[in-house]
Amino acid sequence: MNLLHAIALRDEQALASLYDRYRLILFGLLIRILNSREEAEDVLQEVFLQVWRRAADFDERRGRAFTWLITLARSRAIDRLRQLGSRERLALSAIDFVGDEASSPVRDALRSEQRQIVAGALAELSEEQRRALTLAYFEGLTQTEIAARLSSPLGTVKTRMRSGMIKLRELLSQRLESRAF
Amino acid sequence: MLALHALAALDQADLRVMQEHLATCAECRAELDGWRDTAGALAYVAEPFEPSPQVRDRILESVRAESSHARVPANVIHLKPTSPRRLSLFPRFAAIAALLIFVTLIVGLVILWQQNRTARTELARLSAQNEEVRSASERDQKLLELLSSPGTRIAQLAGTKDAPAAHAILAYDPKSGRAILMTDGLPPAPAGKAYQLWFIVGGLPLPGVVFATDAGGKALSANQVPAEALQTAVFAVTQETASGARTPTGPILLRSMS
Repeated sequence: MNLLHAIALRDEQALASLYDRYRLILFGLLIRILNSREEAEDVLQEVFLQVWRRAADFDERRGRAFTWLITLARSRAIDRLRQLGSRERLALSAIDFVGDEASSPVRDALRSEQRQIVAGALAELSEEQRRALTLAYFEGLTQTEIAARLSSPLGTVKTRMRSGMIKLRELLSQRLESRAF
Repeated sequence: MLALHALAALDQADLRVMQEHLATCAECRAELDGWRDTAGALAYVAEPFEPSPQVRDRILESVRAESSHARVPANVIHLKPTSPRRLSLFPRFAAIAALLIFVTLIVGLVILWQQNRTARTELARLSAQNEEVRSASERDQKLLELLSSPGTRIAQLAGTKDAPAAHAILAYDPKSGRAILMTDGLPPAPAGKAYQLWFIVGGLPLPGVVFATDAGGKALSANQVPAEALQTAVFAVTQETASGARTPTGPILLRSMS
């Protein structure tokens, strides 16, 4: 992606453009994980600072720019979540509140094809597969923590997560004609 | 295993083994990249959200600061005597910069605002209120010292949906933590209730002083910012019972703008 190349060459405007293009999805993800506007905004800032510092690391032969960006954002969010610990997380939800969602026209635009495809694919997974994957992705739980949460044996959880990911990958590649996320 | 690693769901022991293996196996690294694409799709499940407009500015500022090795904090307003050099650190604010001199205080205080004009008239009004306070006592003298001291930081708090007309300023000495809170536009608290200031550190609220507003909806109270809150500088005001609370239970009426 040209933007990441430009950013690697210290183009601030390119960073601003990247922000403008992806902020809603990135921030949406951070809000979902952190449940706090304040924390999410902090992490969003951190993420873009990381993008600025590490844009040169992005190798387009290895994958999509969107994946690189979203992986970075999720890592930072999960790190922050783990740092906060459960007690503070409860206090967070007491003192903070999440404000307005993206406005309707924007939201509609974002009920984009990709979004519907992903939602549709997820719906085809079994309830257990879906739960395990969402616990891992949005709450940053490890396989052992997920097993505890679901009161299931570790082996079962691992199998479900693996098969869930395999199925998700299959469904997504079937339904996504272009890989332009 | 790789699919789970893409979800960052491996336990410590498995994670170590995985990392060691990945260091030497290009094929697995490539496969992991593929799994990351799949995992990344899950991000689309989250409802999109709009961050506050200031975030964009802060990112660009911090990026510029990285480039020029000059740190520019954007979430507090510093009270300092002006100098052309200091102004040059705030090129963005130059367009809306204004000199505001406290009538009752030692000349030479300058405030640069990144907010709009209402904030300035608010402060003028609150400083006029301060004029009335001054004629009182020694305690008030100390408060004035705080306001006039260079290095005093000012944090603005804005009213939430539950108190849209409210506004407050917390002026504090970043070294000692001595602070004064000036609020305006808070409705009078119901019987048995009062307002309480909170310092938010790492998401955890630390209690500040309980105060009541006068008939005009204003309040002026001395506070002490705990050491750990001085860096993060996030504040909120809630309504609590008149004896105060150890953790916030009532609605948030004011919170720091940052």
